[in-house]
Amino acid sequence: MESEVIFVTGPITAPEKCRASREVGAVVEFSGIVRESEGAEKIAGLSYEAYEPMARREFDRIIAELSARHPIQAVLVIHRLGAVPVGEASLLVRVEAKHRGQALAFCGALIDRMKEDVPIWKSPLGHATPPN
Amino acid sequence: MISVKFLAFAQAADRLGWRDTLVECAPDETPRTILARIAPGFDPANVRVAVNCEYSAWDDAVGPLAQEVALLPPVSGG
Repeated sequence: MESEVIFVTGPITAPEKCRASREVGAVVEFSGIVRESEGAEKIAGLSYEAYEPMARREFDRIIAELSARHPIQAVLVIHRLGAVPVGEASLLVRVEAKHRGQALAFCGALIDRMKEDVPIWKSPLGHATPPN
Repeated sequence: MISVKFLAFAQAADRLGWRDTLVECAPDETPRTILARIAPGFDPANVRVAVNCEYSAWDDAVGPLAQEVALLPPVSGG
């Protein structure tokens, strides 16, 4: 099983080609997009910070645990850090598996677990006040 | 005594007013007792702690191999 976790500080670009074997029958790709509101507030974007060495270890640990339950061929995680404007992706997860059930289950569970244990935080970015 | 770097993230850093600080401590001290010494009044409720990039317990000794102790408020990646 191949796995790769990447942190970037600019826009996320999804790699074009699937990387795993010809046994792959399902590819699930999830993008998390920054919405224009956070609670009741309109925002300009979100700023993300991570405790990067630990975030990598947590992703690796979670991926190892989940792959025992939902066998897959490959997983790619790209998380953007720093300022992410509204409408742009903060997260991309691509899962390749033999069957759709494994790919869908793995992808959903990975994101759930990330939101519990991977040390990444977001904070809202306000709109700049125009000068008088 | 050992030197341990304490790291604070997100709301924990906002509340403490620092993002990292070097602390001299004994290996049998716990994150809770060390933090009470360097940041009296800081309430660690809802904050998790990690030693050397692994989640730990507030009342476990940091141990002789501790290099980094991180204070981790509820995560919100994605």
